[in-house]
Amino acid sequence: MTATPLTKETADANATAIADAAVASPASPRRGRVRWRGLPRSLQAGVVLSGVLVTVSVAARIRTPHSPTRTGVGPPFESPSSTFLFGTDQVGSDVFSRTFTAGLTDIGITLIGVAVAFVVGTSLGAIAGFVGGIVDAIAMRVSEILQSFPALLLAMLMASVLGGGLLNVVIVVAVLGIPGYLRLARAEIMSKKELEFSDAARLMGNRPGGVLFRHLLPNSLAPVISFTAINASWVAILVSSLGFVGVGIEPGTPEWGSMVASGRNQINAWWVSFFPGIAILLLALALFLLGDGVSDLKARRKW
Amino acid sequence: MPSPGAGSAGQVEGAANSGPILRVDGVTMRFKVAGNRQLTAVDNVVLEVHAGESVALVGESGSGKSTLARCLVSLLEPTAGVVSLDGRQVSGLRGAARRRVYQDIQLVFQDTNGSLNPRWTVRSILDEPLRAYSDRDPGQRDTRVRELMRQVELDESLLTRRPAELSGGQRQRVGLARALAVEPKVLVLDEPTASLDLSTRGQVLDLIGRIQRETGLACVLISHDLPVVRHIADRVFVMYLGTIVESGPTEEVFRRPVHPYTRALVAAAPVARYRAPRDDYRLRGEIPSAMDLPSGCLLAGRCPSAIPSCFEVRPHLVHIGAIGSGRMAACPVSAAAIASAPVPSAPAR
Repeated sequence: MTATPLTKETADANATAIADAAVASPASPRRGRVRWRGLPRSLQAGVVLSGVLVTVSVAARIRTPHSPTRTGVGPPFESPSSTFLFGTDQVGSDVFSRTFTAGLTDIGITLIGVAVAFVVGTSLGAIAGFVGGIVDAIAMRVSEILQSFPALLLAMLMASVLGGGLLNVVIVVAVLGIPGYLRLARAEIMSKKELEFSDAARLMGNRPGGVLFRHLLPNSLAPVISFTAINASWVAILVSSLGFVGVGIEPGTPEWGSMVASGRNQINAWWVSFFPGIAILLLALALFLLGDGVSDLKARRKW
Repeated sequence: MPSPGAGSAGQVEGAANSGPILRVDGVTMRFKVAGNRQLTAVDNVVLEVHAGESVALVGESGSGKSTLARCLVSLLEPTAGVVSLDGRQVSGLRGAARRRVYQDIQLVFQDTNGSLNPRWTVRSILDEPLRAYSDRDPGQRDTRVRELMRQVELDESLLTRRPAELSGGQRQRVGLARALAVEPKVLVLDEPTASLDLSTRGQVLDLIGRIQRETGLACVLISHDLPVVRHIADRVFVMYLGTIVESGPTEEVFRRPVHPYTRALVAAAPVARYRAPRDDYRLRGEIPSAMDLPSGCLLAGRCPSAIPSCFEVRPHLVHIGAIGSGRMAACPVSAAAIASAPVPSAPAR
């Protein structure tokens, strides 16, 4: 799981936080400090960018120039000016305030969704791969069914069944992510199961659960972590896509996808869609850079 | 509970129980493979190991040695037959009862790389069996871990290392220490030196020998390395395609092999002496697949001494009294030759 540092302190502190978070899987900590300069460029860029995004999103929750939820703080479709830096939308809300306020919503849904998918998917996949037989067959068929639907269609179906609300969006995002983690963890466990240290773990008095969770799983996480890193930016886009098609999030709640959607018929008022669109791009980019950087770091350190 | 047939025990050294410590009775291991075919990896193996004794299982790759090793330590459940440890049957146990068996019989793995958890330090690796099998507190466990390190002649500074940061010889010592942690009665060593280079091989072997003398535990050495076997084992069992074809005291078996397979095996082992007299007894072809076994002697197709009847009847392991006690072989042709004539033998080394 990649972690975004929640505060942007000194560069070195951030670097250590990321490096620690990257290896803070159920295994023991690695020896030796990681130096900021030694980190891959993409990881450095990702840390800085996500640090900035998180910082401004948190700041926006504390104070914005205008209320992000009130309508009519200015005239509709006012172009960007010194009062309304990003202009106003069709109901006269401040796009600047809304864009920054939405940050924590989008980042939060993305990270929690990824985290839930990671934990649930990896655990289920590990059990399926370890137990095999009927359990494995069921897990695989269910995940194949989930994956055979286009993601957005399935998300819309689920959201219409579950109803609106942020929690339901998180659930939808997590469920869509689970099959990927499940299949990957299953494959890894199945190959690790054949290695001798799995037999050795049994000889050392482990119950089957101990063999799986103490020995096999920690040694199977490396590819899952790489996948998480790449998967997170995809999830960020999925979250805003859901907002764009108006699924899940209640109307009026600042959310980048729905903000882009609200301005899509007004080409002249480009600012209504443009700024939240840029925000989506930056979040996806930040997560991608983090993911790429973590993969790089992993390749370099060979774990 | 004394096991039946314990009367023949000849090599017991100060054991409380006079029966064999490890008894393998007709163990057979079959695997299902694609289609409805079966692969017979181990076929009706009978052997006994006495306390303090070391025996070796030798044979080429694919002869079922490692599968038998896994049956011995209950990692695999045999398809048929029974493994008994100290008179108690250990086959067929499950759960906690199965885990208790591991306290009495342990395995040292062949692959020093794959058998140690790569993310754990040496300390955690050695601590794990102590946690599971003893109620020592952390301090006592630490003392025991250090004791084990001394026993396998490793420096305590290595306790914080991970397997990847150790040499092959050091890793194998860690594997050995881990197996010894629970103070087993029997130690099965699956090709313990196969992944080591020659210089460390000798050290590890000497260490195994020393530990065996000190602790009096019984060893089952699995190897295809005849000099290693000669160095360590009191008795040797020669395996071919899952069956034992010859057994007896190591030195005698190697000096006068009876079974054609053993003879070829001994002849094929390199000799480190210039122009050493060699026996050029050779088998033809490769070890056949364990899937479709011939009905006669398994070796008949490759054997230079085969006669037509070899292809019809599968020979049993029988005592060959003519050349010393405790010798058994599964070759009527060679047995008849020995009974009627002076022993044909490989040149003594």
